[in-house]
Amino acid sequence: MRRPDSGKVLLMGEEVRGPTPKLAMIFQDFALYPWLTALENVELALLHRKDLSKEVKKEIARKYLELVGLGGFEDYYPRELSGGMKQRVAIARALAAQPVVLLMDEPFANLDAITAEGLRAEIYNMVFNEESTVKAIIMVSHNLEEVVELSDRVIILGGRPASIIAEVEVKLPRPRNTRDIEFQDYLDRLYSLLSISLKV
Amino acid sequence: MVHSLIAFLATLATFGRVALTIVLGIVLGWFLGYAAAKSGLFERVFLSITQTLEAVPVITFFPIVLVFFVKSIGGYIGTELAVDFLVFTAVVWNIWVGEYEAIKTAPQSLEDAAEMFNLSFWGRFRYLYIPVTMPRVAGNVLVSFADALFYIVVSEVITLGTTQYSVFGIGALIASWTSRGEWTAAFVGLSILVIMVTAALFGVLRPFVNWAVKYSYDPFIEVTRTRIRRPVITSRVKSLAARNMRYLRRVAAVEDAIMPIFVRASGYAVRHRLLVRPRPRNIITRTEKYVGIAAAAIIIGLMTYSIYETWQTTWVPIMVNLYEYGLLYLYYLGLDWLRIAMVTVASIITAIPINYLMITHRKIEAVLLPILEDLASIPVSAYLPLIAIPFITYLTIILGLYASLELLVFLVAYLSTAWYVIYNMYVGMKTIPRSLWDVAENLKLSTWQKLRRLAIPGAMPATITGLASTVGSTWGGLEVAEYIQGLNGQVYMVHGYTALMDYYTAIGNIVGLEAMSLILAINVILLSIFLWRKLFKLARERYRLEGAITL
Repeated sequence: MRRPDSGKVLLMGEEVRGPTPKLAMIFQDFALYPWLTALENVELALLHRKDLSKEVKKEIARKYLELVGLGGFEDYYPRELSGGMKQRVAIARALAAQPVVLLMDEPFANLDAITAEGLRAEIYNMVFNEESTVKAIIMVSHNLEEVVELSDRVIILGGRPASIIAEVEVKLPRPRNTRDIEFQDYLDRLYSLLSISLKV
Repeated sequence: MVHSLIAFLATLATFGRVALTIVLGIVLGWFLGYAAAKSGLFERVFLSITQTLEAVPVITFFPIVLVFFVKSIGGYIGTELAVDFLVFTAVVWNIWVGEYEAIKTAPQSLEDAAEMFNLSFWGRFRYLYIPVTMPRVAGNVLVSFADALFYIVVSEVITLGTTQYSVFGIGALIASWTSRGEWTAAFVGLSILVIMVTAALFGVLRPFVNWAVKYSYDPFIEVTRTRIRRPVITSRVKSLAARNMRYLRRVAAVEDAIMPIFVRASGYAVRHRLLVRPRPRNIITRTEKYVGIAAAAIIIGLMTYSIYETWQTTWVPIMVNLYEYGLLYLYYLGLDWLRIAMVTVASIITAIPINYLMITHRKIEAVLLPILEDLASIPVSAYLPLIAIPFITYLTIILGLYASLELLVFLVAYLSTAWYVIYNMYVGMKTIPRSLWDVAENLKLSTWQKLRRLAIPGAMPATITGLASTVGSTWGGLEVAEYIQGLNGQVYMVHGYTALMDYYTAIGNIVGLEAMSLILAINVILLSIFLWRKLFKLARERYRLEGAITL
């Protein structure tokens, strides 16, 4: 959506020149259209597909809503859903676009701690379900625990303008336990890297 | 030269009237708004009166008010007061409602702080209540300025029976020049008006709005700044062009500071109305309840008494008139509503592509917005005689007089409505959060899909909320165009409610006027209860951007 100042974005060896549903984005504020129902919001992802009939699109949208556990909530408007449910609709919409890469901008920042925790666990199941086409997720987050719990590779940005300060690979077996000593070690490492970046 | 000097002085006189009425309206509004925000009883009375009158085509009551002022006070002062009063009623409602809502929704913490520091009554006004109303006043002042000019230009000349009353002002001047066929002078007068409107807009009002918006504490104000990204540029040539454009854009960076002032302010007003959750109405205390009942009883008593007293002299003739012509009045009323519906639909249809273009293309926006802003402030009523000429000469020959006049009425009503519809819709589209546009880009929606699923529904709340007042402007347009007097010494009129009222004014049929005003008053109240309030509710509930905006 934004033009790179230099360099280019490659997706499976091909240059990405503009917005494409293959790189689906989940927004911090969910970005659901308030005047469309949950089902219609998911259908948005299929509108550009000329090869599908209206009924098929509806069917696919319904399938993805069920996948995120919102079967039965098709006709609800976003304002009638809780924060966690809105997030699921946003995920269903992103998945319905059949992306290869999922971009998530602070996906749990607007949720209360308990909902966020529950959703984090579920995200694996939803995103790496056999129905899903997603191969990788790029997530932006300030919550270090969340970062260690979910990621394989952590890239720390800092400074003004932001640049890459450090890169950490998280080599923990899944599912990860936040109370493990190793988990805590990773947390400490990230904290110290971040505080160094703040001093610079 | 003489013409332009007179025109300059006349425009100054007209602007003086406008400034006076607007300033008076703002000052009165502080106290009324404060009283309404603090007292349950006064709040209820204030709200029902302003909400009804805000949507009233005030201009349609002009004749009856004029008769009162001109007859009972008389002389130049009577006419002057009549004109000022009419302009006052045309401009204050939106300002007052805005001031009330701003005071009512003033942050509790600020009020608590004022309490804590023991500010006096005046201290609170000075440091809290007046500042919080500033952005809303700014949002409404441009609309009121345009409205005031529109109405003042028509009402500076009043023909009642065979006598003509007029005050010194640009409206009266242009009218007298056109009626005598002095077209050059009329054109000079109009040009002076246009120049001075532009000067007032850019020299006084824009700086005022710019200054006033600073007082907003609205967290949503930043949303206006978000813009949609331009599509990614792919080829080398284009990227070279883009680099040059970037330079141009840096030059035009000031545009943010000077461009969408009207929009920033009125956008703030609309957003404030839509997004800031109104506090519940004040509870009526026991004393207020008794006072209210007593006051209502006295008013009803007085009204009954006055109707009884004047039954023979005033009400019987009105009833007889209604009995005789009531059906004709209703038929004409229907005709005017049909015209209004057509004009509104036409305005909305033209507003959609214009706004979509402006929202998605920044350059078009930068050029078009100030032009639209200026056009909106130049009253149609002033240049009506000039645009009427082709309709009563050339087009009459082709289409026949009837069709040609009907077309003229449509055009004038459209010109007095379209700007507001465009603005309201623009504000609506502009407040759609950026992430929703990003989603549309990401999911590769076509232009049509973006219009249907995003731009139009997103613009709905602002458009609908603005509809009540745009219909008021349409009535104003009908009023001036349905009955055109003094062009080549002739009178041109179509079948319509306001035309008949103008005709009655001209021949001095006061009983007929009173009967027609009565019907109109009933019509307006019914409309306010059964249509506008329902529409506002729908706009707030169905199309609220809640959930989308999380800041």
